Amino acid sequence: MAEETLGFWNRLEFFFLSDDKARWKAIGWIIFVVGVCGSIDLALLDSSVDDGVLLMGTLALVMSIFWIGLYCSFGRSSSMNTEPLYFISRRALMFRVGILVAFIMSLRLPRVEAHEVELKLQRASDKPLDAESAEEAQRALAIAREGFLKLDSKIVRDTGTKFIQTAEQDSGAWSAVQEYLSYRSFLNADFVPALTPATGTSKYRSNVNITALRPGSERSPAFQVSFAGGYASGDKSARLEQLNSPQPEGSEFAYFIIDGGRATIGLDGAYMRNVIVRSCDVSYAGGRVRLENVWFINCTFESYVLVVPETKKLGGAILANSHPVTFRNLA
Amino acid sequence: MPRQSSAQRSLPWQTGEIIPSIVEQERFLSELWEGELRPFLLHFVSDLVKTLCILAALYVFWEAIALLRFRGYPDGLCQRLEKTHFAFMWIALCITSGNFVLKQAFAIWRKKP
Repeated sequence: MAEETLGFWNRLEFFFLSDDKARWKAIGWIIFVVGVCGSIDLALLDSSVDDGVLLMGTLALVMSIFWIGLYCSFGRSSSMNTEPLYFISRRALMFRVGILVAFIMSLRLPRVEAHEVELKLQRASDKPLDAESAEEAQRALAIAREGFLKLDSKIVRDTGTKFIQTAEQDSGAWSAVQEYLSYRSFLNADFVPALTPATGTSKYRSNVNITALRPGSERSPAFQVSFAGGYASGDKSARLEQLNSPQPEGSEFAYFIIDGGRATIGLDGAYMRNVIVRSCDVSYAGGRVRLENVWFINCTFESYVLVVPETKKLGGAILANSHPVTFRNLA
Repeated sequence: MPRQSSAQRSLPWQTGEIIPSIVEQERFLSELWEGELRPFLLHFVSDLVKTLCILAALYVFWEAIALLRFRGYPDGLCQRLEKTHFAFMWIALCITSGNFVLKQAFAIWRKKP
């Protein structure tokens, strides 16, 4: 009789604060049902993410209200037990232990995959003149990049150098080198200096050489130049100019950042100091260049096609360093 | 007679004076643990463990998809699995965070730990 007189709020309070088992049963079922419905909508019916999220949100809300309403009408009464119900069944315990074991094992997976890619690269680099080996190395590096696998930079450098050395004899080997450079720039993301917003103004005019412009929307920018890192004195400040039109003084900013767009950034004729080249397509044809502390981050080297001693040297310099690249060809 | 602080006293504590002070302090700690901290920790840790289990399961799912991709399974299949993962991750994060927020809000509202 006393149970019947208990109000809605008492039951709701008991549900939220004491009845752990009932609450987690509701949570589990809502996740399962809404997750399955959302998966069907997104993966099988190919709905847009917005539609899928709207459907899942509505379903979760309806199910929550329905579940709480049912519980408060016919659920367990707080008069029976005012203590929190913390009961762990054997099945739940086994489930949690299983999850823990799977979680610990899955933490090792990226390292195992990375090791497998490293072995593939080492095998491929043993025969750098073989077209299949070059393709194998390209595929392995592309997979590593897509899967965010962090390979040993020493293995990347050593195996990549072998392909650079044989690049003049086999064009396939140079394609592998391009993929190596892209992968190296992906790894470099871990070594970017901490960037603070720049303040102040400067009369310095940055100058970037573009060698190609990919077709695309007019709204998407060709590239963007920004600066960061606060004030730096003249000889230590960033420079981003052309060797044939030098500027009298440095920029007085610590870093220049080039963010990629539709343009291919040409290094020929460039003088870059303390520059971060980010998400750009980079080209170099062996011309005059002066790079001092230049970071290539998540770049592609699709237009880096010419195989001459200078391009090979710069390729080797990019592969060799996990730190910024310093390279000079002023001949 | 009002009790003096230990800094002001020049005489040592008498046995009869020390015991009530210790008992009072122990009672306070005991009440704090039983009345406030223990229920809070039981509530919080219990929910946290279950939430972490769900997040760990989602991580395992994510790594399993990455492994399939690495093994060369078709891109379409991996993308569908990624969408499934997104759906489960989205609802799991919404519901578990909602559980924490509602529970605390309710406890504060009803003035219970």
